[in-house]
Amino acid sequence: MTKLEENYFEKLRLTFPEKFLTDRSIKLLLNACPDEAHLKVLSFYLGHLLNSSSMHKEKGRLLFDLADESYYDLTEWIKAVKVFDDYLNEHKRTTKFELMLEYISCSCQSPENKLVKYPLHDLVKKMLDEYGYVG
Amino acid sequence: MNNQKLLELVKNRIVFMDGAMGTMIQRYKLEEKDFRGDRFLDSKIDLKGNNDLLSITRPDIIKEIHTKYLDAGSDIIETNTFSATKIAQADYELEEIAYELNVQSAKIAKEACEEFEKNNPNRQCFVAGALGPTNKTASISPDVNNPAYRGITFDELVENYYEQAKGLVEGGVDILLPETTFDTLNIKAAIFAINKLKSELDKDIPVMLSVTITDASGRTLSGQTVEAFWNSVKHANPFSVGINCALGAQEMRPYIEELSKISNCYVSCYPNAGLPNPLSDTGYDETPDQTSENLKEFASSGLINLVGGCCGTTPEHIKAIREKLIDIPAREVPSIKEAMRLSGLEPLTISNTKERSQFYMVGERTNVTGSPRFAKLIKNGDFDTALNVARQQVENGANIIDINFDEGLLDSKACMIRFLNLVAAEPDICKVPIMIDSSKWEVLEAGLKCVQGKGIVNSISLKEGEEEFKRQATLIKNYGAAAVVMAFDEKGQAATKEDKVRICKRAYDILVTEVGFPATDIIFDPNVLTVATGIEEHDSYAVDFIEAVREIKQICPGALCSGGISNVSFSFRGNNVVREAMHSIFLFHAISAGLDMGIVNAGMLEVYEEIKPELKKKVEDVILNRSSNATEDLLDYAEQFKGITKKAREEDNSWRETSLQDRITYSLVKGISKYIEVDVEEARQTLHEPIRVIEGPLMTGMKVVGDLFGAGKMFLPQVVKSARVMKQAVAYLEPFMDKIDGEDSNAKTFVIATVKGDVHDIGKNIVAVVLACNGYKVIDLGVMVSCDDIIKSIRENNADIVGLSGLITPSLDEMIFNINEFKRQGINIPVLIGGATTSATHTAVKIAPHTEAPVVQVGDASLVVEICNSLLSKNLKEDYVRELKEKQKGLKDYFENNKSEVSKIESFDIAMNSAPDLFKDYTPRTPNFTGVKYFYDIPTEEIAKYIDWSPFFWTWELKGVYPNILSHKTYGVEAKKLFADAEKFLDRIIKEKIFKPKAAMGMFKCKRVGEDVEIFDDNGNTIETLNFLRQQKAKTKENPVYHSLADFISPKEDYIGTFVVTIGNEVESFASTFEKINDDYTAILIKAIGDRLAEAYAELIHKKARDVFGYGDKDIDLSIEDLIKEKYEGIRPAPGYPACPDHTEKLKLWDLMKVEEKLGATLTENMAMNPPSSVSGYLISHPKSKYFNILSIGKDQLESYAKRKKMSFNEMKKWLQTIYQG
Repeated sequence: MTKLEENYFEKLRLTFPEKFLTDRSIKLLLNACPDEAHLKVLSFYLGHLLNSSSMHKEKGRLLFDLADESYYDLTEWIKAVKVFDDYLNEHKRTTKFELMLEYISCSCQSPENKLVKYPLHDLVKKMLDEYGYVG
Repeated sequence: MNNQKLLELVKNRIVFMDGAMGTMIQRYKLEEKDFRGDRFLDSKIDLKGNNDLLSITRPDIIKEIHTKYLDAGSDIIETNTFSATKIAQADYELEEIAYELNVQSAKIAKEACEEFEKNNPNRQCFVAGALGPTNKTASISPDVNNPAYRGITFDELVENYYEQAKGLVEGGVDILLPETTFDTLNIKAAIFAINKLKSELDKDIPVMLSVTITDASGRTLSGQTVEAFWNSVKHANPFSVGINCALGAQEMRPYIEELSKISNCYVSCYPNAGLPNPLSDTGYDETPDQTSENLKEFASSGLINLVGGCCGTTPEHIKAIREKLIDIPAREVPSIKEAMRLSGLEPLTISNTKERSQFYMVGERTNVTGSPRFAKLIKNGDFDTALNVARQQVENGANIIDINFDEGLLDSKACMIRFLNLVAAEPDICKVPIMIDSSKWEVLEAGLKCVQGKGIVNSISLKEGEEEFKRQATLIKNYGAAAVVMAFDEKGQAATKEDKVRICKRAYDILVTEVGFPATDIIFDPNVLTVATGIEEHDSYAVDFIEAVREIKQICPGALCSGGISNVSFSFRGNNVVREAMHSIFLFHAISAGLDMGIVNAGMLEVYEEIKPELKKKVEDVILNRSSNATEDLLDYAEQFKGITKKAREEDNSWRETSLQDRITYSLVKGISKYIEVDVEEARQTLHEPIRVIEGPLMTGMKVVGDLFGAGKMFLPQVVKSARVMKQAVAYLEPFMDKIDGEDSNAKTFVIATVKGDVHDIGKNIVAVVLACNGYKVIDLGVMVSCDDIIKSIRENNADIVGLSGLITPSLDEMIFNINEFKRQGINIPVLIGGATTSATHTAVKIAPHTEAPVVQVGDASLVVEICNSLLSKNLKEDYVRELKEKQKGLKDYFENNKSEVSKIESFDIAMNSAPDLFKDYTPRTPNFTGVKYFYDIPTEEIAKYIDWSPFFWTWELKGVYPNILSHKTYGVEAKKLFADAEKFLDRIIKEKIFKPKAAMGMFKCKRVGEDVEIFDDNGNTIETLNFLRQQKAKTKENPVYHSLADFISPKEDYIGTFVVTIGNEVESFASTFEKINDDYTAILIKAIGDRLAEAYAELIHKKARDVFGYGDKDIDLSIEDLIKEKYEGIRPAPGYPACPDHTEKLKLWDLMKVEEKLGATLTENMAMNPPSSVSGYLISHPKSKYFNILSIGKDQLESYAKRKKMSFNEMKKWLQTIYQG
């Protein structure tokens, strides 16, 4: 059991309904999070996602499904979420988590990333710097 | 009894609701066994998380939570029924207990209240039956690829909510509370169901409504603003309306303030305790003190009547809220001015007062009876383009859009549902209210079930008698819409003023006094009839309408008047000048009389003040029936305007009056070839030497083109058209030049080629044109050019730069080979790299390191001029190349030091074992033939129906999706011109049968063996083995599936299809005829059309294949648009693409179907198909087959794959380098 899992499993369990995140999903997230700072950012967006629709089961799977169908693992995705959040803070902006995840997913498929694979957080940073974000 | 008590309480003070149920349940840390109890021990799926079920399995906990809230000070507690509908319980396969859950939950809450009141006789408590939003939305498609699809219908929601409300009432609730509304159409269904229940029980049950504003946009999930939402649900006459969930109190404030101002009922507010925050002690941001402090400010500002908490709030929060707010007076319910309040995503308020000057336009072009273009689009199933018609109406200023599908050959009801569902996905259209227009009640009712906003029904009347009129009006009221009432009764349509007024007044009295229909929701249409028909009694039709409006507005207070304006001018069809004047003049007088709105083509209105005085007088004579010969006078006068179009009226040749340079520049910028030779000749006469004309006015003009393009003010199609004009000008000058004259000594030379093994050249041709436009001498070597030939040309032409282009992945290796050869042979000029698979990163990391010469990837034709200029400029080159090399070295170093953290690869054995058995309950379809069929005579016209136009625009760097791109604010104008040109040439190609499309379709018996598919002949002999790959990147799912295309083929007996289509060499030869006359624009256009036709032909062949597989019936309801969007069962993956990335598998398709012999199509050494406008692939019929991406494979799989393909490991690795993760 990682330290994050030890410290935060119960809190996440209390915050997010089972329908949104199962015990297993919470453990996967806690094991994939590099540190507390990433967990804080991720929790913020998951909270928004939880509140933005009643389709809790589908929404709760979104991050996992997108990660599964991409070249990158969950840790890379969480790092990319943090990079995206830093970008938004820097530009004093906010966005919906779903749109952020879609952007990250599109970045994965960018021609720049087809033959030579960037670390996802760097790729997302590059995309944000070069093309910005409209959503 | 309780209703009265509730009313007394809310009149006296702020009423306190409870807090979150889910948050409290989480605190009990319940296990699966708690949720199952004894009764559901055998459930096959996990029940943990089904909180509503606890009302049956742990009622003690639910009652305890209710009691805690009552103890904390709640006056109203909510039942534990947020998800107690069949829809929501389906997640747990517990649909059958939905009703019981509601009855039981209501009883528990009621018991808790009764016990509490017994112990606290000074307190009165109430139970609100909670009706959650369900986990499905009626106005949002869950499938992004199919916006017309709905996971739930209005009727299904009504059925579910009716059952829920009935159960709650049976259990004893005092109030019904549809809450946490994400989608207004869902709550409209709940209101409809509750009204039905109340009517059946003949009982008045107070209804509280609560919406959820999801974020700082201030809109619901389905896109409505607060006011639009209120307008949509006001017909419920609720006890209260409010906002809950998603936001904390602070974020909710502006929306509560707005609701407080606009609603004429009590206002409730129960926010979350801020946002979920697992890092805080409570799991949410706000403590009880913070939440209550925020809400205290709401109360002090007089914004609320009822208050409580949602997610994250607890009895401690409620206690704190009560303590701080109990002595603050409640909000006073304001008196709201009467008006028609409609909504789309946004509100539209039409006040019926004399001081109002605005006239409201109802867009009429989305009506199959009034717009032949719209009708044609709908008949062809082209709903996407039809949506564009709606969009244009809104852009042209329509306040409301009228939608009508009353046409004998159409299924009007199905069309209405589909179109309205599509409109709901387009915020720029559905922001305005919808007028659902039909003469059939079933179509009107189907439409009412699709719109979340408050729309208008067009129309009802007394034609079928009072009873039917009242029935329909009652339903419209319950659906929450306004209605157009035609001046039509049992005797027929009213034509005279007296009849119009009489019928409208009769209808008004019935609606207002008998049906209880709000007067402000009535719009009378006293029938606009055609004047100037030559029949005397028609002469007063317009003036009768105008005068009827004046009187109806006086005797029917609150009601509005409308009319179909273009009817008045039908007798002048074909004479738009007169028609537009008639519409404007008629409207001018009708609006003065009180007309509020009209169905009108906003683009067909002349400005009243700008109508020529003589025309105005003659039209006014007709409209106002001012003289007996007014019609004849206008008819005579109108002759002069016949056939004059708006465009013709607007044609402006004033630019021909400007200076010679300006005229030449204008022609080049606008791509106008009509006058270029005249102007160039004038320049030659002035400047004497042709070369001075080229280097002077023509290059000056082209510089303007280049500057505008660089600044993003011109787009690629325009630049290519400019090039065409330039070439025409140069061609005109050529006979006047001697050889020396003809050579521009300053021009830099650019050699460009598509590399060996590749045949694609559209991008390359565009780059060539753009450079030529900018003064470069371009030597285009064509396609499949060997390295030797490129080097030879570089030397012969003393080239300054060389460009290498390629579309397919193997071309990248060919480019590297070229660069190594350049270096070996001492060629050091800059190299440009281009093509769809190339990237700046790949160029930096894999290509540039092979040479010291600058190597630049060009991702966009708009960049090429600046790159070339920088590479060749004496001043800029050094800095540019240094920066380029530094950047490329940085990237190379970065990738050496920061390789992407390789995602875990699952072992091939485990991945193989994950393969699902898709044939347990499925028998493979048998095709109606086996072997190979060839198609040589399918007309291009038939193929063209399947064209997906979006990629055509992308070729021209116009970024957007067809048909929306045609009205895109930046690209729209050019996109329209480009599309018109494409349609023109496509027409010609079809009529003259210029292209000779051919196709082969194979159907083979087969079976799966691991990741391979063995193909058999009719005698059962193996004739080929197709090799597929399997996903290996590790997944997070508990029991993940690692997909392989082979999984969609049965291991016993199955059939697989194969196909190759080609539009033929005629595409290239036809394009070359234009290249020869310097018309690159048309040449590129034709090649782009060829590519689109190839993809379209593949779609058509796939359709035929589904027929062969017996899918015909399932495809019957799919339009061509649906087929293009692949809304069907079965797939057609292509070798070289993500699900089967090995290009060498194409060779097997060529062998199986004798493609070279029968179709004349070949494969290059790099597996590119030639002719370029060709597509190949597999046809897989399994209904669960889907596209996916192999992503990455490990060494174990590559070894197995190479062995199965009888190729060396290294050879295989080369072909699969993009996915190999060894």
